[in-house]
Amino acid sequence: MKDKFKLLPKEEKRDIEETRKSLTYWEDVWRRLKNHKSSMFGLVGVILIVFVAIFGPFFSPYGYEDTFTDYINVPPRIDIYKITEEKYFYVSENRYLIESTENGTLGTRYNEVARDLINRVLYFSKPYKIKTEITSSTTYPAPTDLAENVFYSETWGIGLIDAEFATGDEFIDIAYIHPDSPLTSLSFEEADFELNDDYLLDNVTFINPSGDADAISSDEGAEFLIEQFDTNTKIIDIRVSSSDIVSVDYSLKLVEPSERPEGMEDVIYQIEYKGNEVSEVYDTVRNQNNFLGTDHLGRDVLTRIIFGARISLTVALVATLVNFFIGVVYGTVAGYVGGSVDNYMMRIVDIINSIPLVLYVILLSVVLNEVVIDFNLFGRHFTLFRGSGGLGTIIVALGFVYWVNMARLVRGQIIGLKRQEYVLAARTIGVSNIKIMTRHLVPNAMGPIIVSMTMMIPAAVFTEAFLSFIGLGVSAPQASWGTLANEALQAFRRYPYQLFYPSLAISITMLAFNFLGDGLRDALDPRLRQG
Amino acid sequence: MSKKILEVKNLETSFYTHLGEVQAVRNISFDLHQGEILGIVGESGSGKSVTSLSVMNLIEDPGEIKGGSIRFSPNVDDNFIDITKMTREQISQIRGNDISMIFQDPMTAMNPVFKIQNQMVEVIQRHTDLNKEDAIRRAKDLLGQVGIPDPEGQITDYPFQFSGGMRQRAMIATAISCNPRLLIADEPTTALDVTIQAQILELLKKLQNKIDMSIILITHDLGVIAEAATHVVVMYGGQIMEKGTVRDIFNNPMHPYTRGLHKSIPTATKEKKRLIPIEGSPPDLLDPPTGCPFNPRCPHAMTICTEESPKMYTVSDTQSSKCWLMDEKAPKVKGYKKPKGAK
Amino acid sequence: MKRYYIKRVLSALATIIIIASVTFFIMKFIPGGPFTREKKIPQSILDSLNAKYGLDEPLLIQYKNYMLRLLQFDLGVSFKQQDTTVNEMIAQGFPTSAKVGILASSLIVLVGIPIGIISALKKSSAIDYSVMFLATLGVTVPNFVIATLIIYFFAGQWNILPTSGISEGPLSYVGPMIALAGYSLSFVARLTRSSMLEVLRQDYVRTARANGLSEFKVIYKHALKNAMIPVLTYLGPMIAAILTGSFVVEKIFVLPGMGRFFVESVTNRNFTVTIGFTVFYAVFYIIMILLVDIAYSIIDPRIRLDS
Repeated sequence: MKDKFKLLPKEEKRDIEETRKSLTYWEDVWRRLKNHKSSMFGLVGVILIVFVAIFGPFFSPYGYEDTFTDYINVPPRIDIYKITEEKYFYVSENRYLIESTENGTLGTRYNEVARDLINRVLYFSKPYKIKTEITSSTTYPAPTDLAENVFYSETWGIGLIDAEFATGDEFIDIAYIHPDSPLTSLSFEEADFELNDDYLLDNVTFINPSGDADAISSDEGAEFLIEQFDTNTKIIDIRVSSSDIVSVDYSLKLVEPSERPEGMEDVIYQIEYKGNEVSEVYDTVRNQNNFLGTDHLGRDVLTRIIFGARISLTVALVATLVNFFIGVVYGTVAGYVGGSVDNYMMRIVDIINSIPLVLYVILLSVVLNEVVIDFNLFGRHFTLFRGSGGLGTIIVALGFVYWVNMARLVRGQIIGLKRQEYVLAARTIGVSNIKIMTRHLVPNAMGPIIVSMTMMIPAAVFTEAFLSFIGLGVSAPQASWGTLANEALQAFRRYPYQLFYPSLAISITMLAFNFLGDGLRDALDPRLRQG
Repeated sequence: MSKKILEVKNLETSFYTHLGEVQAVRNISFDLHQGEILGIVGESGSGKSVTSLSVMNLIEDPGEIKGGSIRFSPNVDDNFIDITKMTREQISQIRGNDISMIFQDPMTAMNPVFKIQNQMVEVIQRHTDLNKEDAIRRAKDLLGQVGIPDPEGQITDYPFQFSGGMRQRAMIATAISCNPRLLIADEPTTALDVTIQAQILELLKKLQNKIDMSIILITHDLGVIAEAATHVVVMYGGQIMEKGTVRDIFNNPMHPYTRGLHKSIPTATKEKKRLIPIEGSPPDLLDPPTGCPFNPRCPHAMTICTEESPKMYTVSDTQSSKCWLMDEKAPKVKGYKKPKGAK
Repeated sequence: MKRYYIKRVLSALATIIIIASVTFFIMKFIPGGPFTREKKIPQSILDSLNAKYGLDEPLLIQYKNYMLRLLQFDLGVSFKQQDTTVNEMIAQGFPTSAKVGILASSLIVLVGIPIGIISALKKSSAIDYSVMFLATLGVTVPNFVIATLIIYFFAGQWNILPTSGISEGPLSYVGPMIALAGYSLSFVARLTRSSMLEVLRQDYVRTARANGLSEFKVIYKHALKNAMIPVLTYLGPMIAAILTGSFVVEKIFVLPGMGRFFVESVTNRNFTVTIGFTVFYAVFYIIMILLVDIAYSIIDPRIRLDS
């Protein structure tokens, strides 16, 4: 017990100073950021969004301009009707009939061949496409008795007339076929078409060499129409409908569910095919062709959102970088030089700042929309900037206006920093002003600058979306998220998904950047750097 | 001896941070009698400010008074109440009335958007039955007492129109407006110029005499203690190392830490004496050293110092020291005299 | 004190003059005049049009005339609908915009600030977390999304509210009001909360407690007045923007407000209307900022007396 009271030699004493590891400033910031749950969520989100924007388009099976004319306004989840063991149908909102599989892979879109407006029944049949090429270069002289508005092709030997379906679809009707035309033989004798039994070619009185107009009407609703007629390549596309008629009775769709007959409350369409009548939705399945559906031109919504991410983020990133450079340079100079220079520079900032920035951006967009900068070099024409293209305009407008806040922030920081002893020390040993600014002042003001930039990106995404939304954004066919939302607005009550997904993309991006910015601010705030 | 007005027993206050529990005050006890000026001295992080805030029950989230009692006698008859067990409303009746407090930085301790008059009258009216005119009259009178040159005109100024020293005077005027029995001054002079410091200390002493209150004076500056205090508590690592009268602590310090403090401050009287710093740095209160908190820096540390916390050894009637050197089993170290009858 | 106000008013006037001048010259330098159409207009008609609107005079004379008209609050004629003036369009649109705007601003002030305070006082409680969650959603979801969601669910699916226009009584204002207020309400709630938390940490709040003031007075007198300073700074410009109409919300809800004219003028290249509205917005905005500055100086004596 006694030896407990022995004085300790010096080296046995616990050295406290070694017990805590010291962290550099940025290590400490990272540690704080890691502890901030929502900001880590934001960081992961930002990385994912950027990743999708950069690499997404490479993995996307479609381009942003690709249209699926058969699948217009098809939602991400579709109601399918089972008619026979292997036949499933989806009836679109605007009453197109599209063949589907059980799991939602869409197939052929059926053509409307007749409609009964009184009973509200539509008749559809499956279309076939025939494509043929002419090899000979014979010409077939025109008959003299063709009607006035018939176009006659000597190469094909056929007379064509513009026609229109009751649905408003335009097509070309055949008015006359020359007896020697290759088309006649094609229709009847060529075996290459793999036409099955459903295809009622035999009954078609297709050709009347005399050019009798009645000859065009076909049996049992089957119709021919020429889709493409190209005399240069000598290729002709012909669409033929089968006689397998599917009828869709949509009369109940127009009645409130509560007013439908008993037992029929859920019935929207009654579909009949070869005597099988179906009025119950078989299943609601995911659209396998277009994961998030298609828009009013039949473009894939997901693809457009992914490409839109590129545009939205490019705008945000470039605008933010422009702001960063102008703002930092302007703010640093004003803060460091001080005096009357600072005073004048800040008056300019005040003036710019005393107008709602959005107004300025709108005004600038309007102005820049008229501007085209182009030049001729080595006999070729280059366009450097086309305002009506949208993308450049938005970037310039955002960059032109949003730097003022950054300039204010940086100026404040620099004024505080330039009184620090290390700046005085640098000055006493003759470091140039430029070097003091770039080496001593700006790096030390980096914390608030980074936070401000993180917050500026969602603000720019937002402003870009807003500008696109009021029609000043990037022009078609390119589309940012704002453009997508704007396009979807026209019919969003029928196709809410077209508005919902781009909006979700905007909201998630804003959320991610906001979370990250909040976390960074907390992590960089020196007042909290004590715990 | 005059009446006891405050008795702090086994007080423990902790803060719960994301790194863990910071034990800012660990089991301290001291008494305060009427008319005393008790100086609490220690370096930053020693727990002196937390002690004073605990006495006011002003510890806020994430802090908490974990244990012990703070008994205070608000009136002349010995009717002690435990501050730690009072409701919010009860304690706010005591604050500013029986116990008041002034803070270190007069620049930030007054609300910038209200006039001095507004802030003073509000306190006076809270604790007295005076009507507004009387309260204003009283406030002007108080400002005169604390040495504001033109109370009539300056009472309608805003705090930012006052200089630092003036603001501290205004703070003091507010604090003494209800003739408190106890004034807690938390580093009242630290943020002020040296010349102003002396004036403020003089003012405090004068007021203490006049309205017969007790003062707890918190400072890291032994000079301030020497000038103003009658009794001293030396704190380190959240514990009391030594306590006694100002004479005891200055003439006969019995704790290596107190001695270290003395050696590390310059004096004008003894020339050419080297200043000796206390080596090392204050303990990490998240993970305080076992035994005596001072042991890693103590020049006379013993094995037991790293294992067991020493008890308070009574050195004399007025002085006690929390150091194993006072134990009879401890070896003799030059300059340290063991009290008679120490166990 | 008086000098401060005079200085503020003068600088506001100067800013308005500069803005008007800048917009005037910007519009002059746009390629293509106001009568540029897809189809070529004969030169003689163009000349007479230019003469009619004084566009054949030297630039500086045009500028002088423009500024003189502006002094009489005359913002000019719409070049597309030649018998309407910009003033008439504003007179037509502003009442609706202002009505919806005042409703939205009241909602922001009466709901945003209180929930921010409650959230700060109940920090880390379930109330705080849910308020902050909603507020974070509010600042991240664009207002056109909020607007369309309101129409889709409240008007379309549940039939509680009318879908568009303001003809169906007080209920038709609910949707635009919420959509317009959404972002700012969330922002104000967040700002109030953080400002309040910041202020509650301040020494003077501790002093107020140490002086024995009641908790009510500590919070609603000492803390609140200080905490309102940054909120007020934000509220001024925000109310200006909201009162003059949010283009998007008016477009979606088909309100006959100012925003619609503005957006139409932008898409139609109707420059006089665009400029006129910009100047109107800017003046309104600057007046609001001026009012905020004055309110600010009443709350915070440092600004009023320090200069």
